[in-house]
Amino acid sequence: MAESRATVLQGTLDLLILKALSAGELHGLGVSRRIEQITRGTFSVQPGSLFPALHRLEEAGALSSSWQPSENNRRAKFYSLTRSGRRRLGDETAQWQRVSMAIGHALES
Amino acid sequence: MRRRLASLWRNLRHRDRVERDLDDELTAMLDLLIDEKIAKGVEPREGRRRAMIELNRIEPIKEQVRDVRTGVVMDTLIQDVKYAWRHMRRAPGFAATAILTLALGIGANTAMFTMLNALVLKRLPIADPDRLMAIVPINSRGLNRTTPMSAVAELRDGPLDHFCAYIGGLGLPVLANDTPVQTTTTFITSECFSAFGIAPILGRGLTEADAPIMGAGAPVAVISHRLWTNTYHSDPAVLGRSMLVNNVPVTIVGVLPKGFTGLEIDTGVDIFTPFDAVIPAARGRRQLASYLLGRLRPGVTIEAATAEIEARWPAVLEVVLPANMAPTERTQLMDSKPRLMSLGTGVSRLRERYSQPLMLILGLTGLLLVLACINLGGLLLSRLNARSSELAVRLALGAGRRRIAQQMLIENAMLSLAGALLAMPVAYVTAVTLASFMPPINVPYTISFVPDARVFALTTAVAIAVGILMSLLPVWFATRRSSAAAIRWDRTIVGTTGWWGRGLLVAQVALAIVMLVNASLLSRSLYLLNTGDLGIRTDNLLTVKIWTLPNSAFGRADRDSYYPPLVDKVRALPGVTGVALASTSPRGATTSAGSPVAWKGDAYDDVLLANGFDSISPAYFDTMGIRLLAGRDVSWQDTMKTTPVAVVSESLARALRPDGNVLGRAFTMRTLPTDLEFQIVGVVSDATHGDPRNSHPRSIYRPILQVGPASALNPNIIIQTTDQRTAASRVRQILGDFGRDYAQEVISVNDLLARAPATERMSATVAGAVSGMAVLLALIGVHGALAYSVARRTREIGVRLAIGAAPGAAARSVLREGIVVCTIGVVIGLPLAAIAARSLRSLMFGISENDPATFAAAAAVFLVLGLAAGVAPARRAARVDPVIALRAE
Repeated sequence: MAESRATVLQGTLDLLILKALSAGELHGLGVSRRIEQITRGTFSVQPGSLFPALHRLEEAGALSSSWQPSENNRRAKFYSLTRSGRRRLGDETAQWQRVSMAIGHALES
Repeated sequence: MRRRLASLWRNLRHRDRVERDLDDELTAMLDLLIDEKIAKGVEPREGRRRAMIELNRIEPIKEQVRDVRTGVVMDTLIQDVKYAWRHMRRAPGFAATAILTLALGIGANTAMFTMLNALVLKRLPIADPDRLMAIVPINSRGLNRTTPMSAVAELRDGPLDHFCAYIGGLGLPVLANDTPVQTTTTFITSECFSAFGIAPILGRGLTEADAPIMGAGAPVAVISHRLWTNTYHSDPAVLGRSMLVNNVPVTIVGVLPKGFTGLEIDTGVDIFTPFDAVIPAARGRRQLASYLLGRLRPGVTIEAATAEIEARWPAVLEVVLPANMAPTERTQLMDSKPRLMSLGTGVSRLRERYSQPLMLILGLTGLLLVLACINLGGLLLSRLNARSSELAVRLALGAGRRRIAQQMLIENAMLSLAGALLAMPVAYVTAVTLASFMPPINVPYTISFVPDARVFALTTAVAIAVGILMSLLPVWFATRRSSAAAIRWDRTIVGTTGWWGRGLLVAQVALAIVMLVNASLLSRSLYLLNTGDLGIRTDNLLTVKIWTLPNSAFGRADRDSYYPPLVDKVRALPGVTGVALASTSPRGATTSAGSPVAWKGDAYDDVLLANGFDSISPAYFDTMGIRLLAGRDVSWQDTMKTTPVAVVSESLARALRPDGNVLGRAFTMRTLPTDLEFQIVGVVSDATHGDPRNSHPRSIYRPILQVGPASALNPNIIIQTTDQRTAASRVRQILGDFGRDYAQEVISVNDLLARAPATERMSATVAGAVSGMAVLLALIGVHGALAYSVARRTREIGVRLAIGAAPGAAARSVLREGIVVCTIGVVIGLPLAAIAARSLRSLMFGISENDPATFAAAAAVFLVLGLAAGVAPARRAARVDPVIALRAE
């Protein structure tokens, strides 16, 4: 099942994480499930890619984290977008749209 | 940026908390996954299994997270450094050997580079020093440095801007601020400061009116910054003050910027005056300058400038050479071709004199560094073998090869840096010691041989390069192996590194023998030089170099009433058994080509040259231990009013007449301006001036009172005394009482002679020290390798003993290994040593550079060394107890 899923394009993982968190704070597993959900199962993020990306984004200041009880009352680390993360989401979304449009045109022509 | 720094701080400082956080986060992730599976109705055990499969391995995830953290590079570096530190502490003997080896190798090279830098590489502290050029006429026989100054006027519009004349480094007596100053004076024409690109910081330079190209200059001087600070205490009121240079009052008109002391880098120049200001030009002869110099005009290449000057040179010479010039001299100058010489590094007599020994020593220290690298390579290879199991485990646990390589490099870099740190004091001591070999001259050297920032930077760079270089082999071995092979380390490694290790040992022995042979040749030559027959008796002799005080009460013509009482006063001192005056001090004679001599009335024969010329007082021969063979000594009654007489050496007597019977006959000697004529009154045994290489000089001794008053004569007082210390202080006092001269230096003749063959002594001492280190390194290398191989083979030896091998067999094989390695090293090293020794030919005295005894002795030393290095390991091998050895497995 996992093999049939497309691997996440280099550079789009950050965008997907930011997008996933735009609706509210989530823990690591939540981010992973949310990405699967919003990409309708196309992308599945492996923990080995997810956690380094989360930590990198946090160190870059796009995310902040806090320890909170999860839905079933376990302690988990929750990530949320910071103001700069939100700005980055906007920038990267615009950038992505430009790129995908360009690629689309290129493939159609 | 601030956020990054905050992360960096957190990651490095609160490492534990960051790690715990990560751990918690991933554990929580696992729990959440299990919960998720259970919620989907999976049975808890199965849920846990699936969750773990999904998460895969936690450790690699952690490792990946760590890799993206800020400061990951620094983090692993700190880890590696800590690890390396622990390693060094665990093997202090290895670390100490490695660091010491490096410190010696790098230190010696740093010292040599310091000297090379000071003498050869360092540029003058002026703008664009390499465009400062001098025109040097070169004839077919080499350098001819004197050119008539009037050529400056002729070539002013040539390719050199600010063209001027310069004659440097004159040791004239100077009285500045009422203090005698030992320094050098330089004569320049007005444009010189512009050519240097130097402007006075105080007052003015020399104007065209002060310092014209031809004609007498004004009695003015520009002084150096250091003279201004040292003698005038940086007093701005120094301008307009008068100082005495060569007893002529000159007015100070300017002070130069800090750091600039003329072209003479050995001593520096403190006083710049016009030509003809303090030394009047001899009548009828135009002045000669040592350098006609200027700055290459912008855009002009050296080749173009040389071509232009060469084309104009004959015409220039036609104009400037005086009509009354001697035809031979004229032809010589007319034949010369002008060359452009860069003055960017200044001029240095030390450079000319020491470049050969310095290059030799640099070669030796370079070899020492190579040897140190090889030695360390061997040491590290042994270390690697000792650590094979550790590396195997690390590789098996998934450590990256790059990480292992990085870690080994860091360990070696730490060793190198420690070595470099320790190399600094080694370099300092070596450089200062080498500098002490510089022969003393009238003026103190001011060139600095203390390593500076540039040199230290280079040392560090060399250390790092060495660190990387010596790591290459071990790192290659360590990372090349597959982890599967690494697990079986003890069976695979010995075979592969054994040959490498043996090759390194042979190389070490070969290099060390090259150095030992060369050092031995130099030392034996120096020994022969120091013990060679001088023809004089040097024990209990003291020599006092005197210099005439400025403004002295006595004129030069008063010698007849000055020298005899001076000698009598010194003779009356307690313990003094002989006193004499001599114009030349022991070791002071230059080995010049000599002057032609002939019987009065005969034509000069170019073959008969007198090459020693000395003005002496009575009792000189007795004092120096020279035997009077025939005739009489000179006396105080031989004055300007009596017939000029001379005493000649036995060699000159025999050269003049094969039977040596020359008493009472008159001969002439060709000198300028007129020939001298002497009647021979005595013949003495041959005596050198302290250099056994010239053991049969054809010497002429003349009475000191018959030397013309115009000659600037500052004789040495030579005292034979049993109490040198008292004599030294009492002589100063006696000179002070007379008030004409002062003692510039008082030194025992033996000390003077001991420091005399400076070039040879420097080469021999340094070569000896360096080759000693090389032999030591080779010994360490061979011993270390053998000891290590015994340690590695303990099990094998145990097994052999257990199955009935003779107890001595293992020990014998260890000894044999040492001897074989050394023998191969000797066989390879001896021909190399013979090749290297060719460069020593000009430094050899009394011994051939192919001296078979030296080569044989060196070979013997290394065979003994090979045996000695094996003794301790062989004993250890002999003591192996099979039971203990096998139990250790």
